[in-house]
Amino acid sequence: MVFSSHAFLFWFLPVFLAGYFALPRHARNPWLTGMSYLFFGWFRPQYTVLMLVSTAIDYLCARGMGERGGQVSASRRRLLLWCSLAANLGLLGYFKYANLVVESLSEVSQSLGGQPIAWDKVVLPIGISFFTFQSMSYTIDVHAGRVQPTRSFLDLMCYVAMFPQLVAGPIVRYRTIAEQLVERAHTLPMFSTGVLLFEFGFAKKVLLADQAAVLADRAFATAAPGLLAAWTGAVGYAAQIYFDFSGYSDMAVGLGLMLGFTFPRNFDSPYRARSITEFWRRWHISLSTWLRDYLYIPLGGSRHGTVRTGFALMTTMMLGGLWHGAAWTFLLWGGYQGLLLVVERARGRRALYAAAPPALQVAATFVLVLVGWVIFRASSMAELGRMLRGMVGGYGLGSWPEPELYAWRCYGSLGCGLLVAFTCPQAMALARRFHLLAVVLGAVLFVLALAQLFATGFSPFIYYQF
Amino acid sequence: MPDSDPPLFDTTRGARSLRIAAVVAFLLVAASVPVSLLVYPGFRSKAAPKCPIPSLGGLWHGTFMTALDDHVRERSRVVDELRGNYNELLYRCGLFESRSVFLGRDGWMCFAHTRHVDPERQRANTPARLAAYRRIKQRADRLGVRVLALPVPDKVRIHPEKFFPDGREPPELSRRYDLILTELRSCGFEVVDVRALLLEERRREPGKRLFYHRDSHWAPAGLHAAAKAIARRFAELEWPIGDAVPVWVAPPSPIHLVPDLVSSLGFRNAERAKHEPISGLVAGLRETKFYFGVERIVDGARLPCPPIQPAARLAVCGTSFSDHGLHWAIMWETHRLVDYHGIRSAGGPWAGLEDLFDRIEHGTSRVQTVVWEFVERFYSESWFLDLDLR
Repeated sequence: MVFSSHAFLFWFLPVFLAGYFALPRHARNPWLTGMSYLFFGWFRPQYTVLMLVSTAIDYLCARGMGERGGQVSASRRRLLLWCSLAANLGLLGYFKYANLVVESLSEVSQSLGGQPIAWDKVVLPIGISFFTFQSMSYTIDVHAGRVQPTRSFLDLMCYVAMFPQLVAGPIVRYRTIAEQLVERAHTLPMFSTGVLLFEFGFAKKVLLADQAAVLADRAFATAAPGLLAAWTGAVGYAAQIYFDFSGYSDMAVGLGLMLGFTFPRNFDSPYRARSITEFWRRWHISLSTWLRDYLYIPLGGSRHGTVRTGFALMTTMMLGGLWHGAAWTFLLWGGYQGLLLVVERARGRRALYAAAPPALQVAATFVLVLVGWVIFRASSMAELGRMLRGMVGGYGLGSWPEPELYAWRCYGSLGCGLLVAFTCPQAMALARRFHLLAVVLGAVLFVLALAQLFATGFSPFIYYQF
Repeated sequence: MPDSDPPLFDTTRGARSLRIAAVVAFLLVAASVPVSLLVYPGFRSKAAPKCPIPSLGGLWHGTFMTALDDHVRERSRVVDELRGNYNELLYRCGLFESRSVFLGRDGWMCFAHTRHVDPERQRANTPARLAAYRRIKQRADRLGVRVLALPVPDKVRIHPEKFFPDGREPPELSRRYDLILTELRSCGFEVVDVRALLLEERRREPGKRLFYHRDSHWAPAGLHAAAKAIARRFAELEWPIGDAVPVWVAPPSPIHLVPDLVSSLGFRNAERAKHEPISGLVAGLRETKFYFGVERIVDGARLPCPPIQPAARLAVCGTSFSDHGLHWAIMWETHRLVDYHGIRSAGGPWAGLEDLFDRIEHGTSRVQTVVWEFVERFYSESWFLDLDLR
């Protein structure tokens, strides 16, 4: 199920909220867990077994590490950690990368004159990348002694399956909400702030991201995109992915607040960054910090000299790229981001253009990010080549991408989106202030987005596929 | 404090009231759909698919939930109101566009897909289409029935100045009608070239309205021109169409209706105009349609003509285009009894024809000649291929 569906907005959410607040406190976590499993298994009920097994393995491994008051031998603790990691990465690896591996082997086989490999494509369970990372962070933290293993299997199930952030994050660490799982406050300020944040997030997704997507799709589908089409497509995709993902995160954080949870924020106006290093501090913060803490630092971080730091950065970013999807373009995107970070790290975390005026630094960073998004969005190397060639004028000036319908709305939304991304206060800031104007704006945008959603049809989130 | 931490208290009573109002409004919106289903249990939009039947396969592959979501969404009055008001607002602001209906010049409308040719779909459907034509022809031959095919051209090619930037239909669209005629002739059908007929009418009288502005169907002038051509063709072919009977033609009566194209725009209640009060906008977009009837004169008395005429030698089978009075027009032009039970609005090109063949086979009809009407736009669609041909 996705937030922007009729089933979620008008059936799941009211039924869930009614049940949640009607039940006594001790029954709320079981209700939340049960409804989260329903949410997760809506389109593929069989996949709930995966999540249950993954949670059970992590629960048992963590409990094993905490036996005898934590006096378990280091080797046994390590073994249990590896069991948990193997189970989670095995799941992720199979469901996410099996298709890529088999297709690549099949291509190699065919190029050597062999037969293509017969293979039924594996269907990706929604949000698997997110809940496996969450689950892994729990056992890693238990192993490192940063958190006590929970005695309650239900609490862990609730943490892993919690529907607000299950599908597309933010990736919440167990230690962030461990106490809230046991005891949390439900207040009117929290609930109302959550409502407003949810409304803003929904509007960002439907009114901005979905419209920008039309331009991006049009440009990327062009056989020989001119300069105008290629850049419009790149900017369109930058707006799409930002408002889609940050909209989802706002909704997730908003829903969390309605239920008394405080999730970490995931975005901090990333397109206003003056360097790529700063961009990664502002973009998908929960993933960046996860990768930093559980991959970059264990790989050596910045403590072992320039070469080792570069290696750690490149490896982290390339694996981070691959986490987004099973395609060589994602790996390339990770490598590109890693390279930019290495260059800036070599200059003391300063961009190549650090001497330029701030506005130019922001513009230059945005251009570098745009190139990255083109790599990220391209469905093949050929498409990537076409778009990059278009962006340097290889196909001439060309014309603006022309959507089949509602061109005014697509370009208008793109303009508004850029304005919001570069100049407006963040949704969270507006929601926290809870000014009358913000409330009215949120309500109007929410109803407008609902009307537009149902006037034009179904609208899935793009980030839940990563 | 993490950035997402909310304020923990309100400073004033006003701020608290504002929060309560925001929460109540949100919850009302979210709960509106389940509540509206209780108030309007029988509501459904035109796009509402049937309620899916749960199956293990459907659950396993996720198709059941998708179908259920679609079904419940289109059963919701709230969704319909949101959609209708939003679309009407855009229309009033001159900003409305539709995926299914193209808004042409001077208030003319047409189905959007009739402006284009999808060569791939057309090509992909060709074997099934030709096989269907051949089976119809074989069955007709077996029953000794003569079939005159009447492919009705899409509105866009008769009034191209309303729908294309340069006022002319694109060449690939033009070729499609030729293809239809060629395919039908290659399968052994006699054919009336309605396109040439209607274009000739327009040349003779440029102001003549052969199609309605906001409806996809032809106007009386269009179908009368076709009926005249059919009568001429019968005279040339000398096919058995029965004995002449005296008929009386009722004068056309105007009826204000919501046209089919307007009801496809997603406006409020446009598709349920018979049962629900329509909006001012939809009322303004109604079109005056003219319907007429023909009655038999027997011993000086006028008798109505029911759809099944056991004594008729001539029948009309077809779609909603026939239902706009083609059977009456043919009866008027030929002065012959016409069986019109085989006219099926939205029934596809051959549902009525098959039904007639069944009746002939069972001896309940003595029809020997059939006018088989179908509309050109079915070449752009593939749903009709799923219909089971007997």
